[in-house]
Amino acid sequence: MAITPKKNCKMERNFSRRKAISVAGKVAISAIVAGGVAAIGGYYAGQVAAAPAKVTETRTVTAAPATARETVTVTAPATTVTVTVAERSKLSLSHWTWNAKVMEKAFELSDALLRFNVEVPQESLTTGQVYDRLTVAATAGVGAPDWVLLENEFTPRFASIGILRDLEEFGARKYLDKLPKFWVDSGSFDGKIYGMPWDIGPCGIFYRVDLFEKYGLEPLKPGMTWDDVVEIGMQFLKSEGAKDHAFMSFPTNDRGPLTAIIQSRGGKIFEGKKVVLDSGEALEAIKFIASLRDKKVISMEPWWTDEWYAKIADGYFLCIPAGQWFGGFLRDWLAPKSVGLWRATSLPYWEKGKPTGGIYGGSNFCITTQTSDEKAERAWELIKFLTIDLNGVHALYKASGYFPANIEYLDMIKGSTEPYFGEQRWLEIFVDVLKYTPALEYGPLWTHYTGNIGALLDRLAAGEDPVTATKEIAQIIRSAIG
Amino acid sequence: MRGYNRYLIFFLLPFFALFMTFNILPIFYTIFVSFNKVQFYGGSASFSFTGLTNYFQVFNDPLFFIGLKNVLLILGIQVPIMTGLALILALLLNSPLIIGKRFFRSAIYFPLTISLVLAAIYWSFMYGKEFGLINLLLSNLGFPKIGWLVDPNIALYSIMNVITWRWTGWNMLLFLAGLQSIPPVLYEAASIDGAGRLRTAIHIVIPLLKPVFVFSIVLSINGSLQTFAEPWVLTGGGPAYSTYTVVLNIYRYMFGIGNLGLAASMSLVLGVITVVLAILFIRVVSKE
Repeated sequence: MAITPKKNCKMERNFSRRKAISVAGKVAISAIVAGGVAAIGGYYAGQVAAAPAKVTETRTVTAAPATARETVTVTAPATTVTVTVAERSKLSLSHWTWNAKVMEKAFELSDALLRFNVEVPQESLTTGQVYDRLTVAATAGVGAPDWVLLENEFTPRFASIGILRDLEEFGARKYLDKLPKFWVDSGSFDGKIYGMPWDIGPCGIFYRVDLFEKYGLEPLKPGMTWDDVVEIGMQFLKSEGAKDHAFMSFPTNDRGPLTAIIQSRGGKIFEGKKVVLDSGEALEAIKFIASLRDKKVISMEPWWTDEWYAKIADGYFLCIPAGQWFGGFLRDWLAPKSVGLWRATSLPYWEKGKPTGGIYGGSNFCITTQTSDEKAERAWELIKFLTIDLNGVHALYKASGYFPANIEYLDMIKGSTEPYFGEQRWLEIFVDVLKYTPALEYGPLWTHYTGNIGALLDRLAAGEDPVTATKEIAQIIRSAIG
Repeated sequence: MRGYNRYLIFFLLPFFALFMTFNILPIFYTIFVSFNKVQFYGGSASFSFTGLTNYFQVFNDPLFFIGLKNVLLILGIQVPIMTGLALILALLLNSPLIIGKRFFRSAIYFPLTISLVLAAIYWSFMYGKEFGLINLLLSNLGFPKIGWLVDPNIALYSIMNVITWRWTGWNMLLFLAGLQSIPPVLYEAASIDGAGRLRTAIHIVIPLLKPVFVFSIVLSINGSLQTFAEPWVLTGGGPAYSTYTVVLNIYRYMFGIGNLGLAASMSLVLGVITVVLAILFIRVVSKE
């Protein structure tokens, strides 16, 4: 594969519309013939190919007064791209997302809009706004965008109310071997695929290696068990550092770490329509969190507040359990000055030698049922490009830093190192987590869980008995389901 | 005269069309939905009549009662404080002894004019546990830090404080309007009869302000039972449902869970409770 992910594709275009139009009459016939050949040859023929660094892109542009053919010179250092743009009209594909700026940058890096002859008017919303508006659109029968970004865990819910297209109609199934199986299983509904993943958040623990060294603690590393981590935490609590620091931050207002820990334990929230949060491995995981609370190994408090940010920047916490994306948050805005001080490890195992993992975050591109077939087809091409085609995946990764779900691409980048993490091969740790993570059934009732789990965390933080609190919260969910 | 009536109807028609579309029809639609299980799929809705099932579920929903308890606490604690404060401020700002009345009136009304999101950001700075302004002040004075928004025993009172801050100005304006509508001759007559300030207030001002008082309280009953925005932006109903309200619950059933029938029946039950409380209050006050 002739892709070097760290280098951007730079394209220089050199074309003359006036000249093209003046010879349009002569060119039209050859354009039609060439267009036909291009169509037969396949739109994606040689999208990523081992070719010389300087290649010629051939595209057909619909321009008044006639359809003209233009030649575009593409210069792509270390990356070779051959794009043949089929003759077709430009489409506008409306999009709801909480990552509009990142998308714009990815489009710019990959020239995706040009490739697919589309424009993408984006509406920048919070995740909550996306879900509320999509619910209203599903209810009203109108108002949904052509395609939308959804968190993986919410994809089944929206699929269940018929607002998402089954992507198998575009042949999505044949690309699933490029994605982690547990991810596809978790986000599917009725065995169908409704979303293609942009990013995926394998959960791990970020820790301050300098503070570990300062207080004589053994650095965390993949393969450690929770018992090992608790022992290190207890050792820390006996040290001088306990006066000025907390060992591990744990949120009361973010379900991510708790859900990932339940998942890593093999627990379930729902079995079909049955609530099983208060039984089996899920309850064991919650009891375990309460035991960490009792031992003061975790400090339970609201996350994503100015106070929490300040504590991270000041080095108050030794460890923070979070998705891979959190590394980018640390580096770029939470603690940009802490270069070389942070390291990452996987979630601890429950038993020695039995690797497991959990997910904290991640999103899918989905196509809505309220778009036309023509737009849906084009949106699928764009989504496939961004999630399966390595050029698209690379552009999204460069634009966002979010962990892609594309296994092939992950294998290419996993050896990356950077000064911020002390040249640790930190991405590799998270790539490995994907291999061991069990599926967690989200299902259409997931919003019942997300709407109530905060109260459970609050009650745990308040020191309540985990069994009583979990059983009561589970009962509230059962009452709501009816 | 007949021509006049024809034109009257013509001019009133736009109002009635909008009023019917946006006020009356939704009420009937909500009633209809509340007796149905509504299922959406692909933009079309299917309704299946379920009788009183949704209403039974409302009364079996623990979160409905948690929300109701919280809004009744707001009604019982926050509304009297706010109303009393508004009345005192109105009396002060109606007094000839106070200078800079325009400034104070604007300043007290100002919180209602700013975006609630901005207000929430401001209050989160105030209420922060570690770095909040209030706790900084408290810790400088040697008091312990308080989890204004994170302690389940305190968060609701913190929310009440924000509601008071936001809505006192509005109620003060109502009372000011009431005070200024009292004819000056009544004060003069009371003065000639030898009534002092206190007697004038008890026998003239308060009885004449009664309609405004009733109006203010009825609006506050409605507002407190439908509390949504303040807890939504500050706590999301937490911690541990301590600031959860009925409307937050309705919102969650509607948008989070998509159970329209239950959301509709819960809205109607809340509406009935609001109307009953308002009528009870008006009757009690009228008897007095």
